[in-house]
Amino acid sequence: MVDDLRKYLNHLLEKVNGLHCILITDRDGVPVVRAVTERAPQLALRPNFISTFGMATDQASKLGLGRNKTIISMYSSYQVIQMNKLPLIITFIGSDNCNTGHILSLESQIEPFLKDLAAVVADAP
Amino acid sequence: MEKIPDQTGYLILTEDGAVLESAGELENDERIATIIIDLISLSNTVDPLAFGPNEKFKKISITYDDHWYAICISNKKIYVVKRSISPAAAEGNAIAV
Amino acid sequence: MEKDLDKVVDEIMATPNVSGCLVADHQGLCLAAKGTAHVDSAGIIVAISEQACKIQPNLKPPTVCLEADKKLCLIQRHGTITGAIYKQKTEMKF
Repeated sequence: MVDDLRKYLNHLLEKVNGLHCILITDRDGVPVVRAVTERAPQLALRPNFISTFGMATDQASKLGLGRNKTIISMYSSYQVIQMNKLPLIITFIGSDNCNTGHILSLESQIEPFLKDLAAVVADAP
Repeated sequence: MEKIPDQTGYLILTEDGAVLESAGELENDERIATIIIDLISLSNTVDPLAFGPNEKFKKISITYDDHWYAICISNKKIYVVKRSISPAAAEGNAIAV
Repeated sequence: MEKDLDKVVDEIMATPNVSGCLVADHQGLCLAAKGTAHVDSAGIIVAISEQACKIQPNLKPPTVCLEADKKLCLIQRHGTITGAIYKQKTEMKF
């Protein structure tokens, strides 16, 4: 199942210009499924980078606007889009001029697969 | 296909993008074939809400100043026709704002 | 801040047969959406426009028209802004 999902994510990577990688991880940044190209920055694939989102989304949810769903971070040469699908986190890393709206629209295409993956993460002690 | 008025080239592709037939200005144009395939797959996901869940696009047209491309799918094949626009008929598709 | 943009969008919506209008920036983020146009489709619309520009990269951006049975969607790009108009099909054919 994971292999099929990885193939599907690789297919999505090719569809969007400038998208470097799609990661589905648990809240601590431990990878569940990874689809990466060579251009993805290695440092950003590590758990200590991805896990910062957990704290950020908690704090963002306290701003009085309801539960935080997505955080988009624009850096000088990359953009990182992370979606809160607790217990899972979906992370997209793309180039700075990548089509952000297009990446956001991938959410609805990945969502159907998350239910099964969430079960995997929840079972782990 | 040659009988289409004003046409300056055409391409017939399979749904995977393999070129079945080509002629005129689009002869052997694999580059345009790949672009069109990607365009079609994008268009299928445009707007499930505005267009209804099963309403796929029947026809796509890409209009430049002096020529335009008509793309449609029929019988599992993708037909692309490049047609020129005569200057008299060119009122333009520009959306004047 | 967006008063002028809203005015233009309202003008477009007032045109007969128009059911929705959407304006997006170069990154696919929606600037304005009205009627049947959905905010989330901004990304795909910009992606379609970019893809169509690749056919003839040296010419100015083309107008893309997506036609379904009863509705059509016109997409045009000017500089960094992409606009889309959703219309109901009338009997006129070209």
